Amino acid sequence: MADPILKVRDLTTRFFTEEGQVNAVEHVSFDVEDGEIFGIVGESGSGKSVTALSVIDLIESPGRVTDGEIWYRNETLADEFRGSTPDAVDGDFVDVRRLPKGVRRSLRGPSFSMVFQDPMSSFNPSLTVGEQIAEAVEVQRRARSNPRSTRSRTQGYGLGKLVADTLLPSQRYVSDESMDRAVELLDQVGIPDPEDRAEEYPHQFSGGMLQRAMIAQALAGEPDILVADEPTTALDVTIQAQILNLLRDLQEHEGMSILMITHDLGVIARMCDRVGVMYAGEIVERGPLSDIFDNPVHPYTQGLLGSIPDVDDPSTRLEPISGNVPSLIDSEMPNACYFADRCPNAMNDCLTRIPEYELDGRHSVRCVLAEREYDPNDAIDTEVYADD
Amino acid sequence: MISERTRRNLRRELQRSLLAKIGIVVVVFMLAMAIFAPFISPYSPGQQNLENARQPPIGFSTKETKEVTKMENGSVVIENGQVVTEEQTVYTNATFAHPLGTDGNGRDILSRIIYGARTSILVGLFGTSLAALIGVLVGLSAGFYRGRVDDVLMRGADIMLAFPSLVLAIALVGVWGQAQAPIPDPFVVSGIAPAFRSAVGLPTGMPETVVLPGTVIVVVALVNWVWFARVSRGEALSIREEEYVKAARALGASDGRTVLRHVLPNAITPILVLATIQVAAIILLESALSFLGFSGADVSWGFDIALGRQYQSTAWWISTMPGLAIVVTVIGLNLVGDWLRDALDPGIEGEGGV
Amino acid sequence: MTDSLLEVRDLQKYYFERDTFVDSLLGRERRSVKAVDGISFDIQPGETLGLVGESGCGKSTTGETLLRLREATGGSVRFDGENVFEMDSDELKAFRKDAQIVFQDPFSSLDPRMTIGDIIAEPLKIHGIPEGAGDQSKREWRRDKAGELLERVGLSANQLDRYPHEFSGGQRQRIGIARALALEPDFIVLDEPVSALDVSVQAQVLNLLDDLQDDFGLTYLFIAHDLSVVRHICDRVAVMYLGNIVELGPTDELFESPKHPYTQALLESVPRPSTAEHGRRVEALSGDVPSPRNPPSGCRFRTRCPKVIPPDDLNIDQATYRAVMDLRDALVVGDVNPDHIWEAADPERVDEEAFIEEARSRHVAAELRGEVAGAVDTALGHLAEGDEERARETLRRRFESPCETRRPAVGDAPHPAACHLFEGSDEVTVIETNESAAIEADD
Repeated sequence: MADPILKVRDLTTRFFTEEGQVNAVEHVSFDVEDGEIFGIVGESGSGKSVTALSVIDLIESPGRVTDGEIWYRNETLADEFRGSTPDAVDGDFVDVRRLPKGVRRSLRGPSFSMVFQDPMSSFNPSLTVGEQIAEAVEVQRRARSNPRSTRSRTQGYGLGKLVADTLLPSQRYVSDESMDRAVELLDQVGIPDPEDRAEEYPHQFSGGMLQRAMIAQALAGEPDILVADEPTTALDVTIQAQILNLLRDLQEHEGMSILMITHDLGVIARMCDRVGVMYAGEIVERGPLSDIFDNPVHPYTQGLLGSIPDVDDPSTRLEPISGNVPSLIDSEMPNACYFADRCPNAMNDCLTRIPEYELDGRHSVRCVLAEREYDPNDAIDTEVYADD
Repeated sequence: MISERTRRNLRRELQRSLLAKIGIVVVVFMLAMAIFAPFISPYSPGQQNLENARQPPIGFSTKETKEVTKMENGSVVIENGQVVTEEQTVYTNATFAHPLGTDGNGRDILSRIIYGARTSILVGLFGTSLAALIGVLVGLSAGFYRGRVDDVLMRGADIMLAFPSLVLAIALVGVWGQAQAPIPDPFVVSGIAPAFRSAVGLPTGMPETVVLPGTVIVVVALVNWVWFARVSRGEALSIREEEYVKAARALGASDGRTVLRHVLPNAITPILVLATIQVAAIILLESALSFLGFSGADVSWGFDIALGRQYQSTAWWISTMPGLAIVVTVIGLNLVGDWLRDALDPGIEGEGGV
Repeated sequence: MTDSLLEVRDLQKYYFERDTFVDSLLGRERRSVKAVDGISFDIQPGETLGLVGESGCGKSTTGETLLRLREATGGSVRFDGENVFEMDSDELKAFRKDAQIVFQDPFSSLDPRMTIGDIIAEPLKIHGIPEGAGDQSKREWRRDKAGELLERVGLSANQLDRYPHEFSGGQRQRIGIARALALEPDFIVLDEPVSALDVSVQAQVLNLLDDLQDDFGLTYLFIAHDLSVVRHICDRVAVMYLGNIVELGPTDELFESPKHPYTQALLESVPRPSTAEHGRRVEALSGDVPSPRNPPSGCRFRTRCPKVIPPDDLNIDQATYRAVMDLRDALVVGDVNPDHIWEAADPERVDEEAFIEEARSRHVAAELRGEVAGAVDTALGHLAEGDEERARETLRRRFESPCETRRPAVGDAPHPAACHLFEGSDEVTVIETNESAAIEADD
């Protein structure tokens, strides 16, 4: 197996809100292999989207990545920073978090790019779709000609440009060259008649088409890693099938790696090679698809799989997890396994923070059941926790 | 009605914003001035003293050159069969008796501003309430029923909006005349204020009634209800699509109940914010009407500005002081409006958590 | 069939755009959006009928229209033998006691300014329950009842004085269910009741709904887009597409042997949460759902259907026929721009051969041969000359499918499918229309 393209270690992201400190992501570690699709699955509030945003450095105040390392394999960068910041370099890997801010920003596009859940709100309604994709192309083009310039994005703005735009209203927002590339990208993601569609505004696109357009935008920088945050959640199943097919085709043809964030275990099953299951900000179980689906160890993973009605087999009764998704406010989080209050197999051992156990080289789990059998005599009284 | 959450938001925004604090201080100060006018006003607003006319405010003095008949030994000097005049320079100094000076009839400007606040605030509050009543009723009906009802009501509102408000107001006053209702001032009638004033040695003889300018209140309401209609229509349009409104109808609730119980309470925040700003707008409109002499009020900021106009070159303070009172009040109300808007932003409300 | 609790016949709900006073002043003709376009079904007492479809297919509108939360444009709904659309206000109020609804969004379905107790007691108050007794004791009775209901849906009665925002999505949905139960209805429309919930919570609510149905003998109309949920909870299922029911049948039968090509495609598209799913390549339906403002003539599904029926006298395989039909649809919706094709083929605009070649490579996703190729090339030739109308007409004349001239509707069989493939049986009834001719004439 080749080296992974991305190694995330102990990533911790907190939000400092007026209600208190929110531990959105707690010591999350995972690898994304070259050319694979790694999935993170979890319910709302599990921290899966925050993890994605942390990886591509898009966390905004009041949130902050407080700890952890994001090792990204890139020889050029590694050579460049080996001398100046040796801490940030390890072999071919660089720790993105320790690179200067401008360099981090320049990675967005050629290294990482992102597809969001809601295509409608991800496009500016007052610019044509083509212009917006071409703008992404332009940013990459400038960044390439002037590597890692922090000014790359701000060029072409400013007072002079404003005056010029006002005086010459016909002047295009982006160059023809970028526009041509935008049309090419739209064609690549399967939009019919891309020349005309590029001239249209987002509201003239259907949800599925707009999601394709957003993927085209994300492809503008030819990224190594595409982070897809619930890319099909807002879409109907027949359109979802189209988009998933498209993502798989792109991944195969472009050799990208995809970090796929979703709540839908079906999407995970169809798309992902390896999976991390998140609960309350932690990855509670991580491993190859077959291990997670066929031999889940963590009671949460088991519960999640037991909660889904099967479209091919109407079993008589679902086995849901009792209780509700926990609060992530620091002061309200127990010094115990976060799942203990909902866990059918909670034991006294669970009343302490649980480390991550390696089952074999590829499957790890954050649960004492990895080490011992469930013993009913040792069970804790879950009523202690019951809130309703 | 006010939830704990709302109170917390109000408090937080108040702590954060200096402007909100200033706004509240100004508004509370103006309200107190209006309510306690018979206690704090140095004189009766109508009390004239021609000897003291056009006395400047503290910190200023005036020099006036007058042509007077030349007198010598107590008799008029006549030369060539003509009365001889000479130039005489008269100095007028400020006194602490009239801190903001006096007007052309020697009335104390401070007292007039204090009593003028009553007129402004009465018109502001009653006018806004009436405007809100009409506007919210129209707006909620239009937004809730949509279709033809909406068409008719809101086109009517648009037509109202097309008239310049001042012109419309003047026309309405012209048609209806100046109805005024004197309301007894409880502090004066009950004898509390006179007793207080004689105890601390202030001149007594304060007016026994407050004049409620009825026509003006109705007119400003008729001119300004449109804003309430527009805002509450917008709110009703969006709230009627909320599922709890649909749920109420599914339960068999009547339209009246649905609107009063579900739509109005959830639309109240922007209406409240608008009302605060509208008080300021209506105070301005009242001042404009008074200035033009259409309101019939004889103690009013706008009226006093008009009175001072003829002395513009010699006694600027007669117009300027009530003008400043208007500016300060309007700014204060707008600051309070901003505070409410920022604190009660419905975006904050109803979110379950992070 | 007389003992049905609910009988829906030819239900229609059109919305009209450009229908304001200003529009009529400007002389703009109003435009109809056919949200629900003539659907019929029955619900038997005690059963759960599922109504599935993608967004915009009209399933939620159906639920709201049959409860008269929206006024229908046509058709009839009988509840317990009485025509719901002809009820006066007293009868309607009585009907509301028997027929309730639970909404999708747990965040907007509860009035944020009311306590949970008031929300659940509101239906009782509206209907003056309990009768008699003093105001004080009435209020207490209602409060007790609200507490009971809250416990019944799995929350604790001491939470009556809390506000909705203090609850999670799943808990709010339980509160919404408690409110619907307060009047002890016979029938509940469940409008996507679990779509907004996380899977673990969704399973809790589904189990709750199951239990309540058993305990109170409830009849459900379960509206959903999630096929797995529908399979789990429903006895019979109706599949909707663009305002029509395309297939209706017992759940297991419909899921195991779906008849309508749309149902098949839906089932095919659902991602299964199992390892067998990995890498499965779905033959996804092409294109988007057409706009209900201007739905396709004939069968609504024909623009995306992988089994569209060619004319009798044409010998063509399905893939090629689909490709030709896609070209026709592209011409109709304006996705074919001759200028772009000319630019790529021959900027001088003389070489018609090159144009046809380029157009075929761009817009026809199949190899064409023989007669088919001839007809398509003739049409593209017209396009090259700038006569789009004639190009469309040429293609229509040769390739017009029965699917576009006549509209199928579900018939009377136990498991009907509205598809021309089942013509001749009682599974489908065909509505003869000349829609297609009318539309062509419009163009």
